[in-house]
Amino acid sequence: MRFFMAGIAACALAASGALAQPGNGNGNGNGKGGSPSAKAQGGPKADRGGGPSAKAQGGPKAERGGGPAVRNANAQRERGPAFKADRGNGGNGNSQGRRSFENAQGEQFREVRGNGRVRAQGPDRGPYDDRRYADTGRDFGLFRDYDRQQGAFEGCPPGLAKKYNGCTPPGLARKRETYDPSFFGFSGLTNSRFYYDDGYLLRLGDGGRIASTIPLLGGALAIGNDWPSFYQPFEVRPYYRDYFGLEPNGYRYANNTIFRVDPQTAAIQSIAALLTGDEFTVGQPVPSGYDVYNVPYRYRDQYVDGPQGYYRYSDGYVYQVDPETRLVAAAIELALN
Amino acid sequence: MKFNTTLLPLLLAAGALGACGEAGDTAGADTSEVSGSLATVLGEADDITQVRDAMAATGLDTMLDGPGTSYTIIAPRDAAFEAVAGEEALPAPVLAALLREHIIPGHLDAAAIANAIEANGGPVKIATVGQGTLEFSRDGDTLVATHSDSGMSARVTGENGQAENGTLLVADALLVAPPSGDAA
Repeated sequence: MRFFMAGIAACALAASGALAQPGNGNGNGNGKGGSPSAKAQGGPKADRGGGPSAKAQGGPKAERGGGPAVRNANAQRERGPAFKADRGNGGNGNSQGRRSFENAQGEQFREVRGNGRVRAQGPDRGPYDDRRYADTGRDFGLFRDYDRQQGAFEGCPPGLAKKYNGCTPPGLARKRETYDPSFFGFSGLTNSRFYYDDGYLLRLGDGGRIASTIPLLGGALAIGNDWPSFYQPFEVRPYYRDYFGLEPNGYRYANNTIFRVDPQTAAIQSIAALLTGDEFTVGQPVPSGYDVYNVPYRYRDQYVDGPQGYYRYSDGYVYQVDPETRLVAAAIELALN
Repeated sequence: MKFNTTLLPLLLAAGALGACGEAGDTAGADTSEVSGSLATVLGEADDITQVRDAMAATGLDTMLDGPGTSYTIIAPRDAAFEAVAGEEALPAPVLAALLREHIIPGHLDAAAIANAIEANGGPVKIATVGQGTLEFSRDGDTLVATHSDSGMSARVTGENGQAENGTLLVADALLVAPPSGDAA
């Protein structure tokens, strides 16, 4: 392997690619024969469970451009895929009603079970059913909700009482070092002092007892560790299960990270993806931070910047952007060959 | 395996001349020498042992061979990494958070960034998979990345390893420092 770059060749490549892509932007330009995105070229996605992405692909919104595999953020806000009753990973019920989160002012809000998000998941779910996080693919709001509401466990979580001497770690409060959770991706908790210990951020309350616990990527959420039972399961959009190759009940989500876990033991096996969570919405401006062409190599033949649009990659999608208005024109699902 | 360390200035010069055509054409990435996985590229690159070890210590290396992933890693050279993060063994979660600020979604390379700066008539912004955004500008023929939160800058110093699922950009500094431990 060589690391060799030739600028002129690069330009030639880009130019020829652009010329070869007359159809991009009008909904059918992605159908190059033999390309890796066979799924995106027209294969119906009827197997995906009827969520909003499937609707956008085959429905009347497909003419917005980008081919059949287009996720339209304005798609009808219907319920997503059916919820699987067998996703329980044990111990999930023991944290019901014990969560809270703090806003930027340090005020604490207790989760109200059966709030709008829960209701949205099924009218027949009573307010005391297990809270379910099921991503319908509509936006990344649920990811943010999860991190805000599940990220910090209020109180001393089950399983840690023994480890932390009855949840009152000796000597921890005498540590000088405290950390801002925002460094680790947990904003909104910045008024609190957190100590670090053994893979967790810990906030101490009355009597030095652990008041909040945040398991950290690389620490408590390291490979080989069991997934914390107090984290509710998060069902990612069907597209992500395909794209990142996730097995049913074989993954978990937290902190903008998708983890692969053992479906039986929920032991963390690997990191499947780090996400930005950046919100691209059709008809809205591109989020900050996407000024440079960054389409993954394997899709570059299909999505080449040109007068009809330019393309940016984020969190498994290629987004088509109108070069004049700089508004997102389409969200394109990719497919692995 | 060798890095080609001499071509970057030529590339940047090509970008400065607008060699890739009209303004707004930011698709100037070379993909003619792309092969293998980013894990392989990272594993075989010189002078980034610290980053490689940090990726392994945090488990983030397990992501680089997985399906669907595409990332660009800005890897500080060993001396730079040690100067900021190597004095004492940092907890893996601190390393993971630090690394996230050096990882960018998608397949970026120096030529594409330089072209975008040229087309934009100034610095360009690139989101990380961490908390911050990187602003890329040019200092002569060198790309300079500055982190939005820390204000720290790093120069992309020439090596540019391209894999099928991502890119490695070697830099001369870290873009964020580990927290001092008294942030609250």
